Amino acid sequence: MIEAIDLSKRYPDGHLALDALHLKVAPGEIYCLLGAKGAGKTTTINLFLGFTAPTAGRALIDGIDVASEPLRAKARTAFVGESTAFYGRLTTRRNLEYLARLGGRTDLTNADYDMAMREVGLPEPAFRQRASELEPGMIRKLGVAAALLKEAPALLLDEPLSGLDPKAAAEIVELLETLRDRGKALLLTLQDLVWARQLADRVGILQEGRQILARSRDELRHESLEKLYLDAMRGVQRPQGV
Amino acid sequence: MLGAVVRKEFLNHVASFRFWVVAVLALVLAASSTSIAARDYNERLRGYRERRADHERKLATVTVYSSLQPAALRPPELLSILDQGFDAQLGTDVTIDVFSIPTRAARAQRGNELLVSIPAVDLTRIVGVVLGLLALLLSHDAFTGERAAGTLRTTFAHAVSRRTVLAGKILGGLLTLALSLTAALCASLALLMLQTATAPSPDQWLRIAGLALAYGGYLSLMLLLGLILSLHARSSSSALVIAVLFWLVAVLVLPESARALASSVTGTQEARREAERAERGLAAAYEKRLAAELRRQPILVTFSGDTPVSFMSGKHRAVLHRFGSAAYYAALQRYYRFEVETGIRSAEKLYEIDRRYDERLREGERLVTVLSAASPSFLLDRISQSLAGTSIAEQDGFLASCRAFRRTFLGYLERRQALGSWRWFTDDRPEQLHPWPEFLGLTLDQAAAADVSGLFRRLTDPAVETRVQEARQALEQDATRHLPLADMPRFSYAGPRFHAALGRVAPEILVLLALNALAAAAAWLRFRRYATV
Amino acid sequence: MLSAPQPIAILEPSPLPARRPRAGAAVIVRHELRRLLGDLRFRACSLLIVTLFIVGAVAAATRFGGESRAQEALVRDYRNRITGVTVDEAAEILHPAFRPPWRLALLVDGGQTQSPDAATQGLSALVSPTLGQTHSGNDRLPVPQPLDWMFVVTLVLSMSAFLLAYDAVSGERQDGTLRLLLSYPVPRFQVLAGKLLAVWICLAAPFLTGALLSLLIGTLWGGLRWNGEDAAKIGLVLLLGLWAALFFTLAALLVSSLTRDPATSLGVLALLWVTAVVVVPALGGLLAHRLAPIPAESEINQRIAAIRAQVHGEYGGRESRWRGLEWATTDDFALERISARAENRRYALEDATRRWVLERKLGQAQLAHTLASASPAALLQDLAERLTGSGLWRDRSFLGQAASFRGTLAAWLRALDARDPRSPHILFFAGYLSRRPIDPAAVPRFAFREIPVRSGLAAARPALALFAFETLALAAAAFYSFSRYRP
Repeated sequence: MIEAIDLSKRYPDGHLALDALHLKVAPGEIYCLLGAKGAGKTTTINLFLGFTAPTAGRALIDGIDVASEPLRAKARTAFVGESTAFYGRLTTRRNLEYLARLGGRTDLTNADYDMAMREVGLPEPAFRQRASELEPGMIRKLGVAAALLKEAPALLLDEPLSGLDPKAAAEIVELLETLRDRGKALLLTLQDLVWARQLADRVGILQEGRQILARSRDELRHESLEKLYLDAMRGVQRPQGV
Repeated sequence: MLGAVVRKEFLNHVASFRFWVVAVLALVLAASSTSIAARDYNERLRGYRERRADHERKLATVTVYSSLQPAALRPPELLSILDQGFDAQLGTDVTIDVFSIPTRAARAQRGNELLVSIPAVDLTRIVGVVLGLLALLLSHDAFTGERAAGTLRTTFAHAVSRRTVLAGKILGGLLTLALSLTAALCASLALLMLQTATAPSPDQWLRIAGLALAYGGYLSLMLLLGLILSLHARSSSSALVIAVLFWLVAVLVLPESARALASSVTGTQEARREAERAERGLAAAYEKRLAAELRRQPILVTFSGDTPVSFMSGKHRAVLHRFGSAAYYAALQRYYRFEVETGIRSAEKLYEIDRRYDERLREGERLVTVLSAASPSFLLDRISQSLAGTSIAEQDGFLASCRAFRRTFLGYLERRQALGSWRWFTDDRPEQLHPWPEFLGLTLDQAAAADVSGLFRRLTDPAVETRVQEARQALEQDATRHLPLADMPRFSYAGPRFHAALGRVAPEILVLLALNALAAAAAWLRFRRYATV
Repeated sequence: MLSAPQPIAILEPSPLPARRPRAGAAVIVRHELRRLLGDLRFRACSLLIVTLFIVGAVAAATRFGGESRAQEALVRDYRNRITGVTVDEAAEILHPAFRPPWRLALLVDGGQTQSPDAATQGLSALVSPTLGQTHSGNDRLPVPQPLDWMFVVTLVLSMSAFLLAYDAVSGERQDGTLRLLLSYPVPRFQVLAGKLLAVWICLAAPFLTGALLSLLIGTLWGGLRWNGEDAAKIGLVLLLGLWAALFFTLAALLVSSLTRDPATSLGVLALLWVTAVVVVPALGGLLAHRLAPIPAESEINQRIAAIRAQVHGEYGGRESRWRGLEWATTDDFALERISARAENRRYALEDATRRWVLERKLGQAQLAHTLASASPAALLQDLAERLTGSGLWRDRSFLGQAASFRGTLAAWLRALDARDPRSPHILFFAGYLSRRPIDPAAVPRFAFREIPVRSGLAAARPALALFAFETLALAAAAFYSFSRYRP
C-alpha cells in the first residue's frame, strides 16, 4: 500500500516542488500521476524512494514512514525508472542476479532469472546479451523483471512508457495490469493520457507541485480525461474528489 | 563560416571551468618559478663578475709564465630562467693551462646536492605538464561530447562542410591554448626583465620567439592527439580515461623510465673506472719520467734554492724559484723544458682517454633519444633546451672554444718564448742574481764546498732571517717583476646563437612538425567518415 | 483484488518471507569487482604498474651492482695505497668513508643515488676533506627520477585509483543505475564501502604482484641481500603502499560524490593530481630556496679568507714554517709546533664552516620536504623515507658517522705514534711523525650503520599521525557526501 499524507517538499532555495500531496494506492490498484515536466512527479517518486526528505507530511509504504525507516520501506518497494539503465558490460542475467542479491535473494538460479525474463516477454537471445545491446523497450522490460524478482508489494514507476514505440508500450501496459491483478500496489507517473485512461484505477494531476485534480476509474467513464487535463492546465477549476 | 565555428569553439572553451582552473594554475606556477629562477640568475651573474674581476687581479700580479693560468668563464645565460636544462648540472669555469686539455668545467653553481628528489620546475616543464594536460582536457570530448549532445548533427544540418568543422575545432583549440600560453609567457618575461633589470638582446628575442613557437608546436600536437582520441572513443568518459593515461605515460613516465634504464644499462661506471685507471697510469708514467730527468741534474738534487714556492694543485704545475745561481737556473731551465714538452704530449694522451669515455656517454644519450622518441614532451625538452642555450650541446660548444683558446694561448707562449726560458720558473733577472749564500756572506764557491745542512741552519739566525724576509718583501712589491700581459689573448665566449641553436635541433623540429601533420591527417581521415549520431 | 476502489484500512505491513536477509557490502564488492576486472582501465593500469615495477627493479639492480663494484674498486685502491705506508705518510693520505649502496633503493630511493656518498678525510690539517659521489651516471643526461616503489605509488597508483574510481558515484548517476541501486534496502554506507573495497582490491593486486616481482628481480638477478631489519622495512613500505591505495581511492570517491557527471569528476581529479604531484612539491622546493637559502660561493670564500686572516693575526704570520728534520731538531721543532697549532686551528675553523654549510644544505632540503608534505603524494614519500631510514635521514646519518670516523682514525694514529719514542709527535703533519710502518690490517675501517626500524618508526610518528588524520578526514567526507548524494 502506497500512501502520501500531506506530502510537501520545499528545496533550500525556496522552490516549492510539492505542496500537500494526498494519495492512497491500495493493493491491486494502479494510480497514475499526471502532469507536465517540473510539476512534481519525479519529486514524488524521490520522496517515496527516500532519495530526498519531505519538509512536511509523510510518505508511507505499507504503513512504514519512508523518511524515518528507509531501509524497511525500500525492502517493500520496487522501482522502475524512466532512464533506468543497467550495467552495460554485464549480461542481463548478471544484472538481474546483482539486483536480486541486493534485494536479499541469494537463493535464485539462472533458471529463475530466465523465467523472470520470459515472464516479462524478453526473447530468448536476450538472456545472454549484454545490457548495452538491448533496445529501450527491452531495457524497460528488464527493469520490470528486476522488480518482479524483488517480490515487493509496492511498485513505483517513473515514466515507464516514455520513449517506447506503441507495440512495446502495449506490452508493458499488459505487464503492469498483470502485476496489478497479482495484488501489487502500483504508482506510475505518466505523460501520455491515452495509456492512462486504460491503465489507471485512479488518476491524479499535478501542476506546479499541487494536486489540482483526482478522479477514479468510474468517474472517468463519464468524463473525457483529455478535456479534464487540458482544462486543468488552462486553470479552469472542476469540483474535486478523492 | 570557418570564422563562426572558430569563434564558437573559442568562446565555448574559454567559458569552461576547466580552462580557467588550469590556466590560472599554469600562470601562478610560471610566475613563481620565473621569479625564483631570476633571483638565482642574478646570484650567478654576480658570482661570475666577481670571479672575472678576481681573475683579472690575479693576472696582474703574475710574475712567471708557469703561474699564468687564464680562466675561461661561461657567463650565465639569461634564458636559463625559462628552461633550466643542464645548467644545474654543468660547470662554468675552466682553467687553461699547458698541462691539460679541458674536457670538463668546474663549479656547478646551483648547488644543494642533498636536495635531489624534488624535480625542478621551469616554464618548459609547466608548458609540458600542465598546459599539455589542458590541451588534452579541451580536446578529448570535442567530438564525443557534441555527438552525445546532438549538436554535431545540428551543425551539419546547417550545411557546414566537414573540413570546416575540423579546422574550426583545431583553430579554436589552438586559440584557447595560445591565450593561456601567452599569459604565462608574458608573465614570465615581464618578471624576468624586471628582476634581472636587463632587456634581452635581439638574438635572445629571436630565441624567445623560437621557444614560443616550440611551445605552440607541442601544444598543437597534444591538441590534435586529443582530437584523434575523441574521434575514436565511444564516449567522452573513455576518451578522457585514455587521454589521461596517455598524458601520464608520455609526459611523465616514459621519459623518466627511458632515462633510468639508459643510465643503468649503458654501464658508464665501468667506462669511468677504466678511464680513471688509464689516467692514473699515465700520470704515474709522467711522474717517473720527471723524476728520472731530475736525477740527471745533480745540482738540482743538492740544492733546492731558498724559498722555492711550488704549488701543485691537481695537474697545474706552477713553480716560482728565487735566489738561485746561474748554474742552478740553467739546470732548472733544462728540466722544465723537458717537463713542459712531456706535459703537453701527456695532456694530449689524457684527452684521448677522456674522449673515449665521452663517446660512451654519448652512446647512452643516443639510447635515451631512441627510447623517448615517442614522447612529445621529450621533443619539447630538447628543442626548448637548445633554444634557451642550456643544452648539453651548448656546453660542448663552450668546451670546444676553451680548447681553441688553449691553442691560441700556447701559440702566444711560444711567440713569447716562454716555454723554454728562465721566465717560466723565476722572475730573477739574469744580470741581477742574488744567490742565497749571499745572505750568509758567502760566495757561490764557498757555499758549494761547505756542509749544506749547516748552512741551512745558519739561515734561521734572526739577523739572516730578517734580511731574507726583507729581500722577499722587496721582491713582492717590485712591480717591474710582473709579466707584461697587454698582448695576451683573452677568452671570449660567443654564447648561444639562434641559428646555431636552431640547427642543432633541426631533426627534432622536423619530427615535431611531421607529427603535427600526421596527426592532423589522421584526424581528418577519421572525421571524414565519422558518424554524427 | 478487484479493480474497484475499496476503503483502505490496512496499516500492518504485509508480511515478507522471513528468510530474506539484509544484503550487505559483499554483494556490492562482488559486483564491482566483476565490473572493474573486465574493464580496459583495470588492464591498462595493472599493466602499467607491473611494468614499471619490473623496469624499476632492473634499473635499481643494475645500478646497485655498478655502485658496489665501483666502491669495491675504490676500497681496493685505498688498501693498496696504505700498504707499506708509515705513520707519517698515513697522516696525509685521504682515508675514505663510503656509504654503501642503498639496499632498499629499489623501494625508497630518496635521492640516495644522487647524494654524496664518499667522504674522504685526511688527518693532517693541510689536507682538505672532500665529499663526493663514487657512482657516476651519464652526465650527458638530465638527472633521472629513480623508478622506485614510491614513484609507482605516488605517480601511477594514485592515477590508477582515480581512473578506476572516478565514476563510482557520478558515473552510475549519469548511467541511471544509481537510482535503481539505491532503491534497494542496502545502507548507503555499505554501498560506498563495497565500491571502496572493490577498487582497493583492483589496485592491491597489481601492486603486490609488481612488488613481489620487483623483489624477485632484486634478489635473483641483482644479487641484493636483505637482513631482518630490511625485511621489516620492506613490509612497512608494502603496508604503506596499500594504505596509499586506500587513500587515493577515498579521494576519488569523494570527488565522485561531489560531482554530477563523471567527466567533471575525472577532470577535477586530474587537476588535483597535477597539483599534488607536480605543483606542490615543486613549490616546496622553490620556497625552500627562498626561505632557507644556502650560502653563496662568495660568502663561503669570504669566510675562508676571514679565517685565514684571523689565524694569520693570531699567530703573527708564523703559521707555516716547515723546515727539514736536521734543521728543525736543533730547536726541538719550535717553529713547527707553532705552525702545527696554527694549521690545526685553521682546519678546525674551516671544518666548522664546512659543517655550517652542510647544515644549511640539510636544512634547506628538510624545509623543502616539509613544505612539500602539504601534498599527500610528497607526504607519502616523506613517510617512506622516514620509515626506511632513506633520503635525508640516511644522508645526515652518514655525514655524522663520517665525522666521528675521523676521530676514530685520529685516536688510532695518535696511539701508534705515541709508541715511537723517536717521533716528534707533531700531530698530524707528515715529516714530523713516527716513521714506523703501519699494519694495513689494523687500520680502522668505516662501517656504515643503517638506521634501525625502531628509529624509523619513531621519526615517522608525526607524519604517520598527519597521514592518518588526512585519511580519516577523507573517509568521513566521502561517506558524508555520498549519504547526501541525490541520485
